[in-house]
Amino acid sequence: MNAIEVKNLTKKYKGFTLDNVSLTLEGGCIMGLIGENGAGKSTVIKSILGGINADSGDIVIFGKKVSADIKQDIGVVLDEVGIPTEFTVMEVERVMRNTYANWSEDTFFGYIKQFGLPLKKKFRTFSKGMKMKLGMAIALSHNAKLLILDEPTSGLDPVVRDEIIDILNDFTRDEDHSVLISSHIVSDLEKICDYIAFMHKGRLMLCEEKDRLLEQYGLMNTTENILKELDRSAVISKRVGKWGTEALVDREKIPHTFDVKPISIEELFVFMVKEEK
Amino acid sequence: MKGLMMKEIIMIKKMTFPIIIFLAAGVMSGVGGGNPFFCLVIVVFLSAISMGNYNRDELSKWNQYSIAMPWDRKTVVSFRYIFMIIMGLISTVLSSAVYLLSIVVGTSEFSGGTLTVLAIGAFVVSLIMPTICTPIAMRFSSNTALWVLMLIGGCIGGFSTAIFTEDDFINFAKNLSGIANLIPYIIVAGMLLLYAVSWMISLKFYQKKDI
Repeated sequence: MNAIEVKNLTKKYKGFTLDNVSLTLEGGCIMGLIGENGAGKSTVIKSILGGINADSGDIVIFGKKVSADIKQDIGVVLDEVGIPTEFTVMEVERVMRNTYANWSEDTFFGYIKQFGLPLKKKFRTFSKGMKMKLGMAIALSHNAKLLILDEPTSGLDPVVRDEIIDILNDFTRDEDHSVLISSHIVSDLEKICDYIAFMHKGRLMLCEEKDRLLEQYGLMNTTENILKELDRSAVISKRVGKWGTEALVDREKIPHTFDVKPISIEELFVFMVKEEK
Repeated sequence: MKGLMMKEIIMIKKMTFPIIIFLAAGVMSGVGGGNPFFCLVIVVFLSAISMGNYNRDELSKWNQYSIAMPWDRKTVVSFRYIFMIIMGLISTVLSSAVYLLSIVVGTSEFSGGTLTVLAIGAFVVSLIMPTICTPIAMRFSSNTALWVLMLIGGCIGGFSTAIFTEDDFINFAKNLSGIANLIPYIIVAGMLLLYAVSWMISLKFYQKKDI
């Protein structure tokens, strides 16, 4: 069963439109939602959680419409962890224990210890990284089958980001567990995601298996004259520099005689956004 | 809803010091002031707690974070209104207790009419502010609702001081009889009707809101 199905999601604001976004997160997979600031990633996530009333479209989680019962199985970390500022970790645990049916006190305090969070300090004294860690601990402590994470690694140092990535990898060892993670730190997503969804200015530019993307696209360092000789549909985007032209190409449409280098997801994203501009 | 209640209880526990101050002020005014209606200062304070907590929720982004929690919007709004009634009942019990204390101490005489008017007055006063302000908070923001709350609180404070300290009113409350006995209950019924309408309006506003 698919974890998330979004069909034709549209939401209009003054100056921004989330335009007909459709994506499917398969069970047991990790999908990275990539986009620059203001691309609409958080809007998609909040729509999935029911925080935003979409103008049109359908959203289904585990085959059902989003409801309070379904949310028992969803662990969420938003870009801001909105815990009351005077609460301590102990008090947060008491609230969550009374909120989630499958809450595990041992798991929660295990993560608190692993992340090195103080039990009795007030939330307002926490750094951004500490707040995120608390959000992760909450999301992982009630036997969720689906994690939805909105910029969970922003504000975290590389060591902790690596820790989070390991935790997410462990989480998806269970084939019933899925993750939707949004970030503009593409290098983090590249390490763990099975699927990549690119968003730009409210539109979903593509949603594809990561390995397929890396196989399909490549970088070519060449000249404008050579590019002109190639099939126009083979060249997705290009960057003209002092010493030549760098082009993003579709490998399948480029003759084998040309040297096409591998591309990272980050480079692919930058090229696609610049092409759009 | 248990999680929401636990959160609210923890937030109220953190207000222990101001609560004690207002309780002390209310008890001293009601018992020592010669007029048991002075204890309504406790009621005004308790009725502001609900809105105050909602404002703190907005400032800490709890309202946004709570979309991740297993509560639907109806539960979130309904909890606010159930909490209001609980505070209303607490206000009623506390005001009645202050009046009875003033009788024990000897600064007031017992009158069934006064007790009835005081208890019902406390219940109604405790509900008025959050009943009017909650739909405003749901539609706009808690900041806007707090401004309205301060305006209403000021008016209630002013009018109630004027009314409840009037000898005519005190005598009227003491000597309730006949059809006048029904007046406090009619006022409660009216207040509960307003409360129910406010609940429905808040639900409608919150369902449509982008959080």
